[in-house]
Amino acid sequence: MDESDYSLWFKIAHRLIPLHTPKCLEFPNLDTSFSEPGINIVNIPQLLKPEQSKNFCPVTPKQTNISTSIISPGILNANDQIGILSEITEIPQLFEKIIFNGKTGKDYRNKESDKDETLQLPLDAFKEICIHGAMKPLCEYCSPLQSESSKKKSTNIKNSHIVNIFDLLLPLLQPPLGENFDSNISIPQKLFNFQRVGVKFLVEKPNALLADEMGTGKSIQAIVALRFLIRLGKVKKGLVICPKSILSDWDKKFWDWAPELQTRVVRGNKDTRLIIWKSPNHVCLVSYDTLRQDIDDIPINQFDLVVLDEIQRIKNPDTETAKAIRMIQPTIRWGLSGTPLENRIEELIAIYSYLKPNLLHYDDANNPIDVKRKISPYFLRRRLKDVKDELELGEKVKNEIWLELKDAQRESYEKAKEEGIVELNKHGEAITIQHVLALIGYLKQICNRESLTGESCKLEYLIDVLENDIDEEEKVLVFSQYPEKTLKPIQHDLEKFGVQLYSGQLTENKRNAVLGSFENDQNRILLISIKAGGLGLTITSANHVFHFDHWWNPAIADQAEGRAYRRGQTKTVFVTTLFTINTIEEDIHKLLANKRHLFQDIVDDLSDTSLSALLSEDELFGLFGLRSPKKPKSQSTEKPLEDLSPYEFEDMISKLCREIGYAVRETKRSRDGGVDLYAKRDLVTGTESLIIQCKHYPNGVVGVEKVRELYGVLASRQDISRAVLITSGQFSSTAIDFASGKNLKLINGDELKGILIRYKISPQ
Amino acid sequence: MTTEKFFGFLTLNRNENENSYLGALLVVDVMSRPIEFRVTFPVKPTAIQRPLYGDVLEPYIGVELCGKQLIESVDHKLDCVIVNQEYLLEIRKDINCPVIYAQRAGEVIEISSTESIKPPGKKTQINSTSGRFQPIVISSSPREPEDSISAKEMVERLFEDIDLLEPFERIENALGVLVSQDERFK
Repeated sequence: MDESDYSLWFKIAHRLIPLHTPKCLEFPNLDTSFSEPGINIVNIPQLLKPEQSKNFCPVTPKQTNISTSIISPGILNANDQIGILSEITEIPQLFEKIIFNGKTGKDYRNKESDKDETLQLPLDAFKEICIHGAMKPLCEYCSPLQSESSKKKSTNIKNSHIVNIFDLLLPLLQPPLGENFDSNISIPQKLFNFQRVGVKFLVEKPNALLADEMGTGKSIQAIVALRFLIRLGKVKKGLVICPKSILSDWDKKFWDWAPELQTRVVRGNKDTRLIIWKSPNHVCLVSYDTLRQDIDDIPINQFDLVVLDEIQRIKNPDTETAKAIRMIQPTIRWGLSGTPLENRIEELIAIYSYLKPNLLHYDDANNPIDVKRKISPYFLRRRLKDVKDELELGEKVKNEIWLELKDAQRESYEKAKEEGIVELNKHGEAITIQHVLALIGYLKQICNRESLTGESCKLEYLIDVLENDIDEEEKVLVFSQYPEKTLKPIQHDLEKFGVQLYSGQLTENKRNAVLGSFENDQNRILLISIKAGGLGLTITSANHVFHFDHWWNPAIADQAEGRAYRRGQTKTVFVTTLFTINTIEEDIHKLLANKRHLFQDIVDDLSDTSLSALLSEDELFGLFGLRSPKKPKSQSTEKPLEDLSPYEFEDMISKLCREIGYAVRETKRSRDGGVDLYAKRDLVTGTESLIIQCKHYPNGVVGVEKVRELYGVLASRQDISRAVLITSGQFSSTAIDFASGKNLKLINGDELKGILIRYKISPQ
Repeated sequence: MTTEKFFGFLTLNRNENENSYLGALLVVDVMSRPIEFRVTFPVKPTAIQRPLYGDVLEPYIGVELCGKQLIESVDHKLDCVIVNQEYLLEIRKDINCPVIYAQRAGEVIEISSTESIKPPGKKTQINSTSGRFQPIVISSSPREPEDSISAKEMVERLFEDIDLLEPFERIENALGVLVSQDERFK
């Protein structure tokens, strides 16, 4: 037996010793190993099974003591035994405790993963679908990232994006689709009768607009209907599009009302969204904005049902959002809206152009009765007052409070208004509706609160009511469209009542935290940006609603009130709208009255009605006495200001004063004593009396002497509040300097033109 | 409202190529939707350690090293833990909820082991009332023989809609992706 034979024996023994104690080995070709032919079974050294010491412990295996000996050396000689033993005794020296390297993971419900769970993956990888039907990075068979080349790719920062590895896994961890629908449908609460009707309506109508008033549970009806269709196999995958602020609300409702459906909210960075879009879910929830951003990257044909919550978002077919939605063409299309018609009947037509193409045409706008007839099979609307008893809702009491601006507010308001009108006039034909809206917004902010002094008649009223009229146990919602200019500043003043601010500036998590804090803690007031919180939220813990300012659209205000006045509200809800008199708010209020009338007539009753009261550019410009620049001038007898005679000029000023609200007395045309008009009006602060002198110098300049004369008259009359000198031309600089700081108001030709337009006075 | 019950599916996955083990725990709700997923980094016994641990190697890694850590790390309170390897029943000593070992009925031929020290836990067959899934047999740790009885109602309810062994396939798929995508799991 040479050395190579020894090594053979050793290898056999070394491998077998720890596990078995074989007594012999067969060597079919033993001739090649041993010189004696015929022997094919030989004894091998009988090693004892390694004995573990008594204190052996798997946790601390270093304590292991292994002893082994050869009890049947067989044909081996002593040298063989020594060689084997010397090898075995080295084993304990190599042994170490098994190392645990830690753990990681993710809580999908709380959306938090352990740190460092991001992975850089090339974006393009997610755009490829493999032959196994999965995104390539997710397919274990053909993942391109296993290769060395992927390591190179991952180092290229420009082409790679950070994704959470556990987000990648989530689709794989989902239960198989359609595997868990055999149980009876259970719902968390019994549906109301009218809701059952709504569910049936949706299930039976592939093209439907559910226009129940807010607070009636439209989303729940849609979820239950969608659940039925998926379980019936009529729908494989649905898409719900809604405003961003209510994505979480939809998610929670799906969790409660359709727990067996796999629902995913599409959000996060682009890569994460792409994964979600392509992952196997029953329902994707997405905001309008996100859909618009992602529309080119998603497999739009995968959806056979789409639900558009607040479908009025697509009322303008030319917006990018509406265009994106039109690219999705599922068989079943449902729209949800408590206010499908906000302004014009064309909006309803635009909505149906998606829900039920070719049902309506824009020509139908002239015939509301025909519109009503055509959409009635696909339209269902129930008002809260109709189902109030079933919902066991309390009453809704609406109230308007008209307040007088405080001194600093009034001064600031008038100044801003006058300067604003002058600025608008400077734009001439280039003026746009945005210029007007900007001025309106600025004036409304002053009506809410004067920024320099902090004076606010509305805040004063609100605090007074909170201290004296509202039970301390009751909670209050305050809506405004100006979270930065109004809500944030007044938040400090309301701190003693316990106040939270809900605005679009907050992240979704913070928004939820604010709502949770308001519902559960001692906070009594929730200040809400009407844009961020006017839709979808359920805040029935509050039963007082204050509109600190009023949105153009009454439907928006109704929706905001619907946060508190909805299913689950058992108390009487008090809605108070704060207005200021003699301001732009009063003018807007008149417009809103007409629009509210329109809304009720068209949507609630779908009856024929006059459409003359629609909001138009003319209405907007008219708030400041301006004419829409696009509108051709009317064929009237008006003539340029410059063409008026001095008497016609005086008559025009007289007419203007009456239009403003003054009682006017004209003096004799000659020997007028330096006064052309006396004007008087009653204000809350007392009677305002003016003396007015008119100087029709179309191309001239009024010098300081005319101003001095008028000031002399003013000084001699104790009953006159102020003197006004009006010209169709300009004033000299010395005249302006003289009037400065005195009760003298100088109105030049440019300013006069603006005022005339504002009060719709035409030179004739 | 839906009762919030959470089930943990605990497994120890062996990577034959890498000679390593990954412990994984998937927490699902009554609809089998994933709620939480925890996984260990690879445990790699050496060529020396493997024979020396012998038969206790996988129980030691599965229970002491991985299972215990995973159970402790979950955020949701588990109502029942289901394992697919009998030795993982030992995790029962570290958690205060029933732990059951689920097998497909009829798939495993039982061979009594003379070396077995502990008596086997009580076995109970569960049928899917929907008839969609093959029956399963559940058993519990000898430490807590009543577990299979106390967990039976919960498991039966879950088994109406969900194949109790299916989540282990999901875990295996997910671990496959982890190993292929993330160097730390190789």
